[in-house]
Amino acid sequence: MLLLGLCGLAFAWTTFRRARADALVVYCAHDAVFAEKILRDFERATGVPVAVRFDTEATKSLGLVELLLRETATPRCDVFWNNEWLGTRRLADANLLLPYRGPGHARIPAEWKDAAARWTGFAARLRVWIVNTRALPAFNDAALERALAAPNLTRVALAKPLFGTTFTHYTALWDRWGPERTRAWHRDWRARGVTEAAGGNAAVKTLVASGVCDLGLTDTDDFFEAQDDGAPVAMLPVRLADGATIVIPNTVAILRSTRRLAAAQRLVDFLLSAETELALAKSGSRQIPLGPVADANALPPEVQTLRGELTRAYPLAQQPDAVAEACLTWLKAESGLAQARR
Amino acid sequence: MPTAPLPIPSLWPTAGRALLVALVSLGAARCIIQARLLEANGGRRQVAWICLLAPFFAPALLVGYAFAPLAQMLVRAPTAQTALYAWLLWTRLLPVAVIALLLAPSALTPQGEHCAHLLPHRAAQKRIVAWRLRWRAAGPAPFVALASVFLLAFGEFELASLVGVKTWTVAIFNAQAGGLAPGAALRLAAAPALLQAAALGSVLGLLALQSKSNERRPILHQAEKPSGKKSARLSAWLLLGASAIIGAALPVALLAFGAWRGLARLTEHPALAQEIATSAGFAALAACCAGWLAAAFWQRRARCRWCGFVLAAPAMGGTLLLALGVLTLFQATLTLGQLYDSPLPLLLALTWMLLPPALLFTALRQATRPAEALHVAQLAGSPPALFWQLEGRTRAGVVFALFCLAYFDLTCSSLLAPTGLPPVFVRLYNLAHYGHSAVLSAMLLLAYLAPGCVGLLGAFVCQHVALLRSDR
Repeated sequence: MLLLGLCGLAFAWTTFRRARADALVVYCAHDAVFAEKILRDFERATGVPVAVRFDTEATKSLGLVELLLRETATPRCDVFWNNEWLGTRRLADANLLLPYRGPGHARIPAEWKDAAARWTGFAARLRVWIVNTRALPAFNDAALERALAAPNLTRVALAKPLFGTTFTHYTALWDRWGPERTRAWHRDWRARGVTEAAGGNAAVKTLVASGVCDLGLTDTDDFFEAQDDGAPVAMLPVRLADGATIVIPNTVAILRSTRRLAAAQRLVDFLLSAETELALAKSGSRQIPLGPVADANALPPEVQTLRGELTRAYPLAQQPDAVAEACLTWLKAESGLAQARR
Repeated sequence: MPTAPLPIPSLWPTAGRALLVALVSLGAARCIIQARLLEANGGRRQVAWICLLAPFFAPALLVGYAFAPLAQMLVRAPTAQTALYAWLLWTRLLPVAVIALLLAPSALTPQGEHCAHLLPHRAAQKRIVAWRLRWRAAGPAPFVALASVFLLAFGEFELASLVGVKTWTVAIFNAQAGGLAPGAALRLAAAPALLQAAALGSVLGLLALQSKSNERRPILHQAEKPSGKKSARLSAWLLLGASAIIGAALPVALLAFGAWRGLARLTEHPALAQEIATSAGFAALAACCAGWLAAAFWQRRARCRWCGFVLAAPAMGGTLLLALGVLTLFQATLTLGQLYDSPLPLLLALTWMLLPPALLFTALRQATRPAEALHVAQLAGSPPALFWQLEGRTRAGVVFALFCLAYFDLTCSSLLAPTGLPPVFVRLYNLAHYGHSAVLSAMLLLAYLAPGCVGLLGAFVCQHVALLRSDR
């Protein structure tokens, strides 16, 4: 039995080493259901094998960012495909990212990429209110205001703010409102019993689509998934006080520690290409292309509509570093784990 | 300077819930044992054992996925959600309580136990005598069962995460995902670990005290028919049925119902087969290693067995702490750091995780081993097919049970799997957060059925090899 185990281990080790020697290691926080197809297309187009590590929906993006920060002594990732940009910027600040100005980087407008070319944004989605139309048939800004003014918010859902795009949403509020008002708003909602979905934005979508909650905060990709499933849902973009929308792009970056630079650059160019943006726009997640697309009519109608919101987007890239840091520290304290520091 | 244990959210509610689950499991286990369904002869005995063990071998991901919509419906009623979680936990841990009660040594000889059961208990005075005798007869078994179930319920993570219940394990996992270094997460877990150590220490202490002076409890001896009152038997069957239906049959049925529409779309996920093979590979290796280690510890002197128990003890604290410990070992140590992104950390964690059940299964196997028949077969130079029937298939069954436990693991795999070798349940766990879909149900069903196919194939090959060797 031991001999069998050892033989198996030796075989697994050899196969693993051989496979990993050529493979480009990608950490991907974008939804596996959509990202997998894109990465397989890249493999087919270039012949470069890809080994992917996905994040869980519940700890979206933060888990991989923290993993990358922890792995500085034993790096293994070549390319990081994040589904938002705050975490990517943290990695850039930690000097873990390698600048790359390829053709893909060139086609993305300046407001969606790092000036030092350490990361580039692409294929964005919008922060939206998802509403169950059976519970709230005529949903508009006035109805939203009325629903949120109710003394009981147990039928309103949002994901844990420590992770993913809910965290980005919080940083935008922190920036616009300031710390005191954001804290007061957060505590007021909790006091009124807002439902915190443990499974991330997807769980918010499920709660609203199934009618357990009437409305919730999520992203456009989750909303479209519910709509495609035939759920009675509608959406309304989240707007800040000045009418700005919260647009959250995917970001891609090459890790400074990469040992497969040429392959990593090929993948970055592939992801930032018009074809990939178009493919993501046509996918179930309906991501909004940030770069120019040759034939705008090829985009699904909903994406064409959402594209209009890009001009009114809250300028995430100009958000001061201290905002996200302060907001994250506070949220960690709120989650009861403040005393445990790294 | 040692760091003081930090306060951790949900610690005491988790402990209270685990204690409640342990107490209910103990009561139910006693009811099942007293009805003697597991000792009856014939088909009913097999049905009882299948009903008892099925929930333990149903993966938490499957159960969590099946009950996630119900848990979400209850999101605004946390008490009901917690009750659902406790119910599911009870179904999974009832077998542990039953086996602990069956295995733990008695303070009385089998003859003494029989006398204790025969004692009438109508008169008050005699009732006291009967209870005292029964208390002595029970020995440490109730405490061992209580502590074992408490330990497993207290350290549970996977089901809690899927059902959306707040436990200290979920808090630690989230903290670790949110940036807490594994070492710091382990320090955070100091308080629960102390509680677990106390429970485990009391179990080992009681077993050590008792095992010195006792004969083995006469477990698993077949009776002609189930004894006890009809109402007791009915209650036991109801308990077993409820446990098997909620913990295994219903989740599989719900999955199968949703899966048939998604089966055709499985071709869109070619990576699934590779991930199932990866999981099976890791599980097979870990099962072999753990089985071999347990056999090695068990076949030597009593001191060696105790070494085995001590080595297995950290794994009784739950897979989350174990995985975090191994992660710390490989991330923080310079020499082992070279092996961090290799299959070794996961293999080590899985083997370690399997050690307690491997020791338990080995003990069970030794207790039921037909030593006389084997001796006679050996003296008579019997063919290998007979040895396979007498011993080989039980041994293979033990390895297969260990294989299943490792194959269905989620926690160790999600924390320790090397990039490029993702075990199947890590991806399915991730996809499960997007909600129910036909294709995901089909993927889960396929991943769930795969070990069954491996088991059937393995049994077929082993049996035929034994038969071929016998023919020669």
